[in-house]
Amino acid sequence: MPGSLEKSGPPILDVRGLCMGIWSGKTELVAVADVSFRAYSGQVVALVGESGAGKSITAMSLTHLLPMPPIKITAGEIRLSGRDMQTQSPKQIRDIRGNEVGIVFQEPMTALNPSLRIWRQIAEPLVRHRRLSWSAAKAQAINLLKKVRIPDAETKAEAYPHQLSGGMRQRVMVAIAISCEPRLIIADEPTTALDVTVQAQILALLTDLTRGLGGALLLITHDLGVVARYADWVNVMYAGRIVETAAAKNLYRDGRHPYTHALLASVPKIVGPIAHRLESIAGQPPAPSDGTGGCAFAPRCSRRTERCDERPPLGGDDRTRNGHLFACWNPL
Amino acid sequence: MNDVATNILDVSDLCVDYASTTSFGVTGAPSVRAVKGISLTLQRGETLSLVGESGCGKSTTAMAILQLTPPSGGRVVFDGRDITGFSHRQMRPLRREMQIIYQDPFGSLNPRMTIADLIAEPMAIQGVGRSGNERRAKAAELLDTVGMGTRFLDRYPHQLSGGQRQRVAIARALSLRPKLLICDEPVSALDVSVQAQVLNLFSDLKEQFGLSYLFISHDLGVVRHMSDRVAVMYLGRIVEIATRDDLYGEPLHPYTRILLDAVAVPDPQIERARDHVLLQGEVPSVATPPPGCPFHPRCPSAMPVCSREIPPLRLHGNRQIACHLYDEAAANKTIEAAMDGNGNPN
Ligand SMILES: Nc1ncnc2c1ncn2[C@@H]1O[C@H](COP(=O)(O)OP(=O)(O)OP(=O)(O)O)[C@@H](O)[C@H]1O
Ligand SMILES: Nc1ncnc2c1ncn2[C@@H]1O[C@H](COP(=O)(O)OP(=O)(O)O)[C@@H](O)[C@H]1O
Ligand code: SF4
Ligand code: SF4
Ligand SMILES: [Mg+2]
Ligand SMILES: [Mg+2]
Repeated sequence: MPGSLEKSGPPILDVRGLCMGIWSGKTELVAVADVSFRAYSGQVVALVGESGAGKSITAMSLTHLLPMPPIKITAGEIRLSGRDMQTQSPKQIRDIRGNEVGIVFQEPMTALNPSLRIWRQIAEPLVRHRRLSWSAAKAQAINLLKKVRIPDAETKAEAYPHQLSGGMRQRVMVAIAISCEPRLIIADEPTTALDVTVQAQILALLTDLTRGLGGALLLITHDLGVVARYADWVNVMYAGRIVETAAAKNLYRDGRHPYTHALLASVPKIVGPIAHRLESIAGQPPAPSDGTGGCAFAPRCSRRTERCDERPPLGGDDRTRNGHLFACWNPL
Repeated sequence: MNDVATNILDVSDLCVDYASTTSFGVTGAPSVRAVKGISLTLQRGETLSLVGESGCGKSTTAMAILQLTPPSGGRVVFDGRDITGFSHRQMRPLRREMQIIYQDPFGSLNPRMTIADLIAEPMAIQGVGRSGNERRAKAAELLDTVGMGTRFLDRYPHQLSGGQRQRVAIARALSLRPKLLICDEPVSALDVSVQAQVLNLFSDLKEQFGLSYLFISHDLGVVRHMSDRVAVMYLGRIVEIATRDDLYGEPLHPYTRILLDAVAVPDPQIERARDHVLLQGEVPSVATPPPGCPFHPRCPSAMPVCSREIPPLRLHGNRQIACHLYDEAAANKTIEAAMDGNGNPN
């Protein structure tokens, strides 16, 4: 399923220099620092990284879903189809969310209303944003259930969330997310809780639908296999920063950041040679700090030098092309 | 190969029933058979993995082997002793020798105990070590074995990361020098970089202590890395069991093939070149298994016989498979059935 690296028109999503702070009660810690990325029509763009890297709050910030307090945006710009998201009123944001932007989270059970029938939950954004009548919206909801390949859609439309399996509930979330034909779908670990066979079904569905609608998919995951299969462009996050960004094919073949390399080496694979020992990364990902200091990966990095006490900027060199950037003084 | 003396574990025809429940609690309804006649052997020093989708019965199998869930049929022979149906009292001396590690390192550690006490507790219960001090010294040694410094001895579980908590759980399990370690999704809650550390630790400990592992995971990459042999489960049964290299090199059961196909490989070049067969539908409930082969409603190779007859697990070359495709007698029956359809009243 080759995607597209072509930039047809201006980006659908354009994030520049995004910074977020967490108020810890005493001081403000830096949760996300200087994050910039773009997603163009037809693209699947991945944010990949370990837990705590800042992926979810980055996703939540895009449509004003941050828990404020304690988290707030301290700098940066988020543009959706050219509009500055930070100057939108709460009403404008409500009009965008579920309409221009569809959202799929990891745990569908918490996102679905347990006491409403499935069709009602899919019909709701259609009634709200598209001003459909409830009966027209119901018919459309059943169509959407068919589109996400739920067997026996008419019956399932009448069910309540607890009557469906985890995979079905996640399909319902996808149906809700695509109901208003959004320009952007944000999927935060959409399949992490699901079995691998169901995961493959849902991700194929999400990427096909995105490309079919000419929209963009922001895929947030910790799974480098999923990224390799579905993403066109990848942003690797570590400790609140993007440490490497590249087209998927370049990142896997010619990754330059030691963290990217170490992460790839530490995944046990179903093909290729079997090493007796996996290459592991010593230590663990850091918690948010005051944001000062050098390279955040330094305590775990085997290529560390004195220079790493100073923060490496995100940039390229004569080996990188086509927007491939990394933040490291001693790249591979 | 089936010599009881060389096997640390011999499980034959293990069945486990759960009382079926509704949202109103236990009813008088018939029970649900979650595990339906599992047979497997584990040799000393071997790692055998159980893989399969959620709900297929991996944990239930583990709990029944440990007699933590009573088996409703079959036999479990551990280190030459039939322990089927043993009570908690009868199992107590054996707990030293067979330990389990769970997925959630947080849930399995008492939050009010220090790391030293947590590691020493099984020794105290089993009366190992002469004094508290001796056990503390042993705990310090174990912490070192699992790659954590003794500075953690007086800390509490909430002060540790997920990977550190899992190391403590491993140290605790090792404290009694078990022969068999059952690991139920031991790295699923960990980040990949930390997961690799813990997997390496499992490999080191196996060599150091001559452990045998029954390793449960839904992650087929992890399983390939860890196992000597792999058993694939579907809806309470083993459908294929083979050496690691045979299974990953040439999966034969249609379910094994699809399962492996669904795993995304972290290499875009390989991924773009792969041709994916997406599995349709989802795992049926164990309460209402389909007739015949449990996989037939989703199987791309299903034949008429598949919806009528349950394929038994049979030897095929070096491996065992439960599938009519590898069963000549059934293939002949299919032909007969087709001929019967051509006019012969049955
Ligand atoms: N509501 C909150 N209050 C305080 N801190 C928070 C809150 N939500 C997130 N954080 C912190 O912000 C940082 C980034 O969190 P985020 O959830 O975005 O990371 P993530 O990479 O998506 O992690 P995971 O993969 O575990 O979900 C983490 O250190 C986290 O502990
Ligand atoms: N305590 C229980 N009561 C009733 N059913 C159970 C119980 N535990 C597990 N089951 C059922 O048994 C089947 C196997 O479960 P389990 O062994 O937990 O599978 P896995 O570990 O592969 O996820 C599932 O259908 C599950 O719902
Ligand atoms: S800047 Fe230094 S410490 Fe950071 S990743 Fe590069 S070599 Fe390692
Ligand atoms: S027995 Fe039939 S349905 Fe079952 S796996 Fe084999 S071919 Fe498929
Ligand atoms: Mg997250
Ligand atoms: Mg389980």
